[in-house]
Amino acid sequence: MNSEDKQRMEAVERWADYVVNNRDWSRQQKIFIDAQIRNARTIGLTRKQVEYIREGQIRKSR
Amino acid sequence: MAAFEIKNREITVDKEITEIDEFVIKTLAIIEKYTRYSIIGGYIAIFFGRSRATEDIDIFIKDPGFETFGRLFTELKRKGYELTIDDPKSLYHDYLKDNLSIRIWEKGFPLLNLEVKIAKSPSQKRAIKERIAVRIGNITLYFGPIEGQIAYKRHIMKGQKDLEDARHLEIVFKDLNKKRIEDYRKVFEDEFRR
Repeated sequence: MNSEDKQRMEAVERWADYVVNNRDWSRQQKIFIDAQIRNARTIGLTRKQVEYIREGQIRKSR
Repeated sequence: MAAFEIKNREITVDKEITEIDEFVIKTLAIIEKYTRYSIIGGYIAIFFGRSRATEDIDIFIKDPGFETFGRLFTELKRKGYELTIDDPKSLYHDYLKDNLSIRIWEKGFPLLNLEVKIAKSPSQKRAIKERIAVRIGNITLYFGPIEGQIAYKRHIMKGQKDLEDARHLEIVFKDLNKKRIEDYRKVFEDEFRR
């Protein structure tokens, strides 16, 4: 794991600890996730554009 | 202390419902009328608190047979959903039966979609057989075993996002069975070697 990935993993662990110890985790998560979904709705991508993005993601992960 | 504890393959979760959860709950309420399903993949970690969104929610279903699938297709279309192609016969025979997934989304918002596959391999069938019931108020969703997800993401997928999902699940769940994770790892590795 490189140092950037290591830092990301530490952030993931910090947040997971927050989920374990704080009841308001889901309120915070909802704000974060819903904002992303609303933004995506506003952009209004077509099915073809979604497929193009998805193919790019698959290529990137290979 | 841990946020979630599974007892007798059941767990009750007190959480606020996100827009992704709403889509999943609404769509799976239709699907479960026709067949058994099990949610797998990244959405599991997200449902249980991971701080990221996703566009694809993966599920395995038990083969409903063509006739039942046709009825499911009709109800989905009537309720405003779109699918990979608009032909139930081809969706069933050329996609699902040929080990390919189909996608289901609400008309006008293809970004957020349910990716559906028929469970064929032993590990896929096991995800349905050993699924856990997750209660949120009066709603029940069914997820594949958490140990199986950790094993799959950590030992098969191995991408940074997958390793992070696995670590998140490991921290937020109480009393995960380490032997079971190892058992799943062997099953997955055996399947992927073939």
